[in-house]
Amino acid sequence: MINLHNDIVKAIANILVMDDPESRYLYLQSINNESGEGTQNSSPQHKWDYRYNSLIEMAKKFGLQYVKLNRGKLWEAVLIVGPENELYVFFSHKNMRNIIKKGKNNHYLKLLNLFNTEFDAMAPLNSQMTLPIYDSDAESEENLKEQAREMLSMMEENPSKVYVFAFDHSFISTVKALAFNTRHEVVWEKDLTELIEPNYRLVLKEDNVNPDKRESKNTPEIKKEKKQIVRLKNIK
Amino acid sequence: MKKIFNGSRLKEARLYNKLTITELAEKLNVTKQMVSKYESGKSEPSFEKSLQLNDVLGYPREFFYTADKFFIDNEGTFFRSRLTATQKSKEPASIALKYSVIVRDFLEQFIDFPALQDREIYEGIDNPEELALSIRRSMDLGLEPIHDIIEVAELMGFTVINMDYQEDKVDAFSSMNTINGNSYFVITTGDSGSFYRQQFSIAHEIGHWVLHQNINPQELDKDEYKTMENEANKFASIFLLPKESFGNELKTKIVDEIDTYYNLKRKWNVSMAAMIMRARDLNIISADQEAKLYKQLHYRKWRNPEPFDLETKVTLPVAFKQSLELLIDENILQGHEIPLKIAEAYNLYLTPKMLAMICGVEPAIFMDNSQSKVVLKIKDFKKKQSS
Repeated sequence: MINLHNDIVKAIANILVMDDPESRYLYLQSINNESGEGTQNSSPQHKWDYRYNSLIEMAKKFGLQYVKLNRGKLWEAVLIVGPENELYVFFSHKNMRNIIKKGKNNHYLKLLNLFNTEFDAMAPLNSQMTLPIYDSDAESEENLKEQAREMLSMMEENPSKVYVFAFDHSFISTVKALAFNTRHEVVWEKDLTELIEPNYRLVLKEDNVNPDKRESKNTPEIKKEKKQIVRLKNIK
Repeated sequence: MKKIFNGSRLKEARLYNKLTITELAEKLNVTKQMVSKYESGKSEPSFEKSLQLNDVLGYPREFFYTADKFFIDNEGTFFRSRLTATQKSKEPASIALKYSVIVRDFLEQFIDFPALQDREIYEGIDNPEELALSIRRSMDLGLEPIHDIIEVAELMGFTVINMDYQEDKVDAFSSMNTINGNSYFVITTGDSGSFYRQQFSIAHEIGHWVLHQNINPQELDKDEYKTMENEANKFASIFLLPKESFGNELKTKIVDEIDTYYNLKRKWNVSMAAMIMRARDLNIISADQEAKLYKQLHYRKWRNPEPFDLETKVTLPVAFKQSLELLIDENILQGHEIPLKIAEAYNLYLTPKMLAMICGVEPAIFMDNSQSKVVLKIKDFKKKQSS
């Protein structure tokens, strides 16, 4: 359903759950908290900026357009524009659920979903994501659509469709692509977790284990003789 | 002849001790400008101050009045992070690495170490699975589990040193060094953590040796560095867990049950987390099964530490220790002669403590036991009796 090359989808999936230790170190250094013991209130913003900027880099690499969506003084979201003028937006899975369930109707995700009229004919996959009673006041809906158009004024045309990439990085990294209809019901979903590359760096993460030490020897414990690694040169 | 103070040696000793110019100035009770002058050769410490250097920095006084009689060509050090190389805590590690190259080169004249393989023979092999198998073949490792990667590394001719004396935790690192026409690839074990983490960590350094020939890591940009690290990790997983043996064995078991990995950990000497990732890499498990396994790890509180991590002893390199024992046991050199011979050959004066750290032995091995340090004198009791 997504009109993007597999390499691009894979790149997006990996960017969303990327964990860059170098960036983390530089961030802590920049806020005078190298030890990590101090405060780091700006950390979530830092992570999102890193994610968004990596998506911009990726878009440039693959010749895609991107949009920086200004949502007041506090937030600037990055959206990728696909080859058929479709939009791709990015959320943590938890935040996306909260927005759909409890968020204001003028949240940019909900405004963007209003462009998905094409999906209204599709059967919702799971209606539990939405509120049981949707306030479908025709006047306010028109008003919201107007807000949506204004929000995307930097785009020449309205987007053809809007897709969401949602990730979870809290315990196990997972990424999904989803599409909502204008009633904010999920009509399509694809698990992209398979595309996340194994991150062996986690294996080398400091384990804070400090066991006893013994000399190296490859011989089984029952053999008492020590294996000689080196020998004397014939210099005598 | 008046000995000339060597400012660069003072800087080396200061960096080894992780002191800033200001901190050293305070310890020596001089201004920081004066320490800068000492280091740049614009001024010399007084005799009194020069005597203090030994106490403050732990180097013999002669160290500061001699110059390097050697040149080590270092091809760049593979630290885990690109930024690591700029951190203060890594400077002593790099200096200790230099000393270990000298000790290894010194021992080379007496000792037959396992020869370092010519890594160029692997240059044409692009497939990492094939590459890992070739190295296994060259070491007669077959497809069996690796019981002790430290021993494998030493038998492959690497110089392996343990440096857990550091206050700051430093991960394993490695570098190719050439001195007097001899090339040594030195792996420093760093803060190993568990035995199973060390297995992966040292295999990762072997990966750098074979994969990143003629690459100076300090010249790479951020993305290149990350790619290089990922390649070394991938190599480590393949080297420790071959597809043809580990992969086939895993396929005969319940692949999405954490107990399978618990049992395999004892056999393959690799962490459960690494085995799960390798299983995923080999497409033996799906992403969902991987997630299920991690949930099981988490549920059983097996994530950190994993089972066996606390009770399995970490192994230490033995080649230097065995070399010294051979020299002393065979009466080639006495222990106390070794620092002197190194000083003679390389103009490098190191204390027994520093040499002991590099060689993984007790400092006493480098001390002269033939002469008692205890000076006894008979009491003047006759005089007392007569009075």
